[in-house]
Amino acid sequence: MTIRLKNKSTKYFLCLILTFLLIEIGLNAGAIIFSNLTDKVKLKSAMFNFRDDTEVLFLGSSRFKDGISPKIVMSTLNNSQKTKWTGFNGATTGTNIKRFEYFFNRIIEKKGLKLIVVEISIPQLTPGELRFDSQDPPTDIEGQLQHVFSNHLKIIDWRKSFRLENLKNAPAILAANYMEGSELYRSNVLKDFLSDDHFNFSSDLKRQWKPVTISPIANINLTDTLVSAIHLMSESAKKHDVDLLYVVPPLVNDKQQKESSNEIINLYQEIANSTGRVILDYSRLPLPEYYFRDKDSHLNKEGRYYFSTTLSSEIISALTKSEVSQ
Amino acid sequence: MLFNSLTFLVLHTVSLLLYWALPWQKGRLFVLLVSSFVFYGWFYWPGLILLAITILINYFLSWAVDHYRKKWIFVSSICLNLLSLSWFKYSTFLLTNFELLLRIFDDSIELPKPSYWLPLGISFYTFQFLGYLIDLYKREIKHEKSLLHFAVFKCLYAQLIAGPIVRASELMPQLNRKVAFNNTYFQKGFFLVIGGLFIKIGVADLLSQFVEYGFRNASEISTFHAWLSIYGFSFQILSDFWGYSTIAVGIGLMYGIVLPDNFNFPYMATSLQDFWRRWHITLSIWFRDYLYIPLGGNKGKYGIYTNLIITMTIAGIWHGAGWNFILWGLGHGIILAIERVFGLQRIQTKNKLITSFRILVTFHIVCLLWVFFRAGDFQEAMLFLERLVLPPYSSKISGLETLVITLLLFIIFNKRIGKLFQADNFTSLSLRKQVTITTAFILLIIAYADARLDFIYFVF
Repeated sequence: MTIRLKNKSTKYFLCLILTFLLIEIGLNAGAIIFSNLTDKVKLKSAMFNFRDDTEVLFLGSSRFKDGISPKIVMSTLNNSQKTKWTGFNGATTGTNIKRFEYFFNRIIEKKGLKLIVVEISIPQLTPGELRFDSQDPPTDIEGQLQHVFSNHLKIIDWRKSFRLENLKNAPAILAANYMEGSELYRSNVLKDFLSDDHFNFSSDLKRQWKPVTISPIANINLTDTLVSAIHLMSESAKKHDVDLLYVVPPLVNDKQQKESSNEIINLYQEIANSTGRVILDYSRLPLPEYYFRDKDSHLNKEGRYYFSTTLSSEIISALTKSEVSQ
Repeated sequence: MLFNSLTFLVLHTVSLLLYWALPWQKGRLFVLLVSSFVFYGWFYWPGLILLAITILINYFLSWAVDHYRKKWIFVSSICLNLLSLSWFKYSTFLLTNFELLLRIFDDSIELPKPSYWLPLGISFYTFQFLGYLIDLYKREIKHEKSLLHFAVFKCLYAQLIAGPIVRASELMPQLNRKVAFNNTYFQKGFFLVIGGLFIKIGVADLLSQFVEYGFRNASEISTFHAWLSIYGFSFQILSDFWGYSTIAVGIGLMYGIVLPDNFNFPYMATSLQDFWRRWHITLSIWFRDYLYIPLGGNKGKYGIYTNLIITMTIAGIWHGAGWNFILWGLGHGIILAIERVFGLQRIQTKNKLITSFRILVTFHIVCLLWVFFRAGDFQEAMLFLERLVLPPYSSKISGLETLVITLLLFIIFNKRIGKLFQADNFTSLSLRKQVTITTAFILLIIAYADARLDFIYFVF
């Protein structure tokens, strides 16, 4: 039996209803994409989980995002270890301890993950909110209505994924295997792509880039909630047989002065103590400001090259030690 | 309750279902009245008491004006409405300025000021009342005997808070007549609601973030940033108010009620007079018919200029209680008068270059006058005007991409979107185009909606 609708307006409303039903079905089918487009931490963790086995993950703030090239790290590491490991830069801007924990808990069970290089820095350790999950249940009628709609309709729940600035990232999840994570949101991508990339990492430069090591020296002290969160993540990594390497990224000028205070060094020391792991501190090296694109805390292409290369040697030695201890 | 909220969606849907389900016109009007009260009381319920009292008093005043036909009753009715508007909107402003004046003689003087509460949409519904009383006194309309009809005319939620200002001769006959459900009207109304929301959420709210920063940090921003902020505000206020008016007209159509259009591409105006024929059309007509013409209109050699200046200054005061609004209105009045002196508004040309130049000049005059409108007070306005000419000229601006992209897209699609809102342009599109455009608008509304962002004109 065929139903013929003569009125164009009726057809219009029926077509609209049908379109939105299809969109809702499409959203459910593409949950892995649409549920993760609403926030950059969700996006990058989803990209990482969507990838085939990835052995090394870099987690941190914009300092790691700009400062690390997994491609450089992995090529040095694979050449030296005769492996075919891959790496992914999961660092995002605007991070905090809550977002760091969220990312960590979301990826820690991924099969094949062997090492997480964690940025230890003030942005990364700052207390804050996730920003994408509402903290308190709404008390007003408008809020409660939004809550009800969000719970029952994906089109409302994942509504921010339709924002043009988020929607453009949809292909990134599907193409995660071909991306290293640094391409998204990195400043000066085009400038970096066009500029020269032949750097000579001489032995003098290697000495310049040698990090200060903060080693665990005392018993575990879990007085601070921040340190306790780091400790819990460290224990979780141990449980899942994933190694952790803590790194304080390079700084220069005022930022270096500000983040070299005794209070901060003590905090780093406490993290080393509570986790029983060393922290490689690059933040106090006397580096020239021309390695930094903002003369502050974000490395440029040349700085990234040296930092990634020197970091790969540290990763090799960390992995070797870990193998020996096992 | 805001048009861009889920609570409004629920209220509007329930109200529409009940309205069209009821076979009696009185029942339908009762649904409209209750919905309008819920809509208005949702913001601040005591405002509802004031609205209800105002409706009752005006119902009896209009009866008295019609029944006795005495000038003093008519004048008293007008004064009573103006007094109520002045008390809520202008008392603090007047007392503060009077206090400043008295302080010339005695520094310690402090006058008591009423607590500040500005009932929503008071300027709009008071002007609608005034128009009704004047039309009634001039015997252009008949007194509405049914309190229910009268109340719905006064507080129909589609246009209660920010217009369009509807005349009794336009709306009353529609309220008295029971109409059958019209598919095409309903569809067009639905699209106008969606289109209006899209302009409000997808354009005005995005621009507001950039504009807000520029005006809040006027002392720190560069010249380039200041110009971008004022361009941004020009399009923000257009899209905000145009969006609201489009939603209002759409809501009306969904009930089978035709409300007048309020905008006609105002930034395409070739003179300031042309601008006021395209911007907030119902308010311009109100001022023309109830103030400008009674003042003498175009009569007299110099009267025309003073009438223009007086009318526009009062239009400025109508928008807000502040010297910046008075200067904004005065500025418009003076430039309108200058246009008249040189006959600039009458220039007719088919030369596209000249027309474009005139559009550009008019747009920039409007932009510069918007500074007074947007600034918090006179000092802020002067500081911002300084920013428009004085260094620093740096171009490092955060959020620039969002502003430029939104502005460009809006300017490019302004005419296209606007044309869809006119006459039967949307309903005559192919079904596929209709569904695609509506779906895109709805998705963008859902994506960018923030139910806590008000419409600019709500405060007037």
